[in-house]
Amino acid sequence: MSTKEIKSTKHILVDLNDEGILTITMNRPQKKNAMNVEFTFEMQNLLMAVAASKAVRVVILKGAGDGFCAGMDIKDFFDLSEHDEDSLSSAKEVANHWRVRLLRKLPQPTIAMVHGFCYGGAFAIVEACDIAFCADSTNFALSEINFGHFPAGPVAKSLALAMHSRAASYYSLSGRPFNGKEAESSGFITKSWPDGELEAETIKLAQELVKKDPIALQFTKESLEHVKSMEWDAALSYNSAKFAELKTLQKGASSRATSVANFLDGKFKPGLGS
Amino acid sequence: MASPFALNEFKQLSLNFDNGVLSLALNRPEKKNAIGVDMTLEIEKLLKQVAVSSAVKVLLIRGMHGNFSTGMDMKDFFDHSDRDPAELARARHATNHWRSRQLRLLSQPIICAVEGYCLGGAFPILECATWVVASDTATFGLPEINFGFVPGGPIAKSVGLAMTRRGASYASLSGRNFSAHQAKQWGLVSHVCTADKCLAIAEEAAHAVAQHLSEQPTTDHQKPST
Repeated sequence: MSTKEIKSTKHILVDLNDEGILTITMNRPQKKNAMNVEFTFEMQNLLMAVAASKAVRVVILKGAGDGFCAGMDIKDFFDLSEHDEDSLSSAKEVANHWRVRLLRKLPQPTIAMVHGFCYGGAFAIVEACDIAFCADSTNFALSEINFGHFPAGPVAKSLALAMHSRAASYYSLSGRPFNGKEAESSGFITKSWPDGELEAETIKLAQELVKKDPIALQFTKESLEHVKSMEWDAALSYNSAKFAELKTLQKGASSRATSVANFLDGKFKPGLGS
Repeated sequence: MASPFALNEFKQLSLNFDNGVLSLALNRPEKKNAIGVDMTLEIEKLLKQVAVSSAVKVLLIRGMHGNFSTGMDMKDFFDHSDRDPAELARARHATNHWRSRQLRLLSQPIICAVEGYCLGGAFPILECATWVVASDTATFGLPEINFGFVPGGPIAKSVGLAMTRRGASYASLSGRNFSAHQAKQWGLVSHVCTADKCLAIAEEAAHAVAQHLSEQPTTDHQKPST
């Protein structure tokens, strides 16, 4: 199997439509779409393929069946009767890697479409998406504390990034569930919709996004991500350079291709005059 | 009290000084107060004077004729500008300078009153403010993406500082406008009121703060912010 193909696998369904909207469905409904070892490797391969794809313009991420995702299938990550030790330790790394880096750094805008339930480790999936829509009736919970555990892996960081700190403390310490509207006012969700409107509103937004310039979308994401940690002067300098890069890329690759071709043809000899 | 400035030196800023409150109204109604080359140079010049004025206790920023500002006047600044290149370079520098340094380093509190449109390049003004009151009919937005641009210069940084992460991503990627109530939920606005009360509430607050600061020893609010 090629690792660079966008196609459905055992636990993940993909659908790429003519407009460039890729819908990724976590598909393990009998286990509430909990993330197991196999799913984790499938997601890594898929996201690497998506990052390299020009055909994909917007990504929608959702769960099959009754809900979004119930978090990690912890048992499978420790099951030595099913997996050898090396693949388990690799899977633990990858489970963090795809949520923390691959999904977050996709060049395409990403929309999490959350319905039914969203628990524990799934919070890191939702947070890594640029935009998060949910249904009003969605049941959110950080119930780790109820089992003597805590929001592990990337989850605590995700809460700190997207939730108001009061909400993050309250929900992770109390373990109490909350609904879509509460998730919206906690800052974690962009907008909560009446159940019957979630899908239509998600698709409507995706259809708007595919009409926008893909390079500008990518640079907007990158800029928001990076300038936060920069001093003002560095942010201004970064943005000027980004702006010039944007104009060059939007003109098409021809000007750069020509320069490179001229160099390869020996028309320019760097350092030796032309 | 006499104004500390020659208020009529400014053509695109409507200025009024009263009891320690300097009211700065962006005044280019035919362009919904878009900030062009002339206006940006005037703002830079004014803020330089405000920074060293002990008479100005509070800076109140608003727009004339029902709009705050539609952001940068792209036509005047960018691709189609017929300005002299040296003047353009000076204006671009001034624009970055007053939004990223001058406004935020003022020792005086800044109060903004937002009516009508407040778009893109105007966001850093709100981000620098101590308190932002908005009319419930005001319209906010980051429209750059709709014409293949990104929120440039200091905008992305200001958005990251003032707005929640969800608000920042949604507004900048979707390019959709949003309401004053939404702006408040996303951190950009402090207080939402009905359209008829917006200016009055901002002015009342500005005067109350100026009155309070006038009763303090000058040095207390003249220390540079750190």
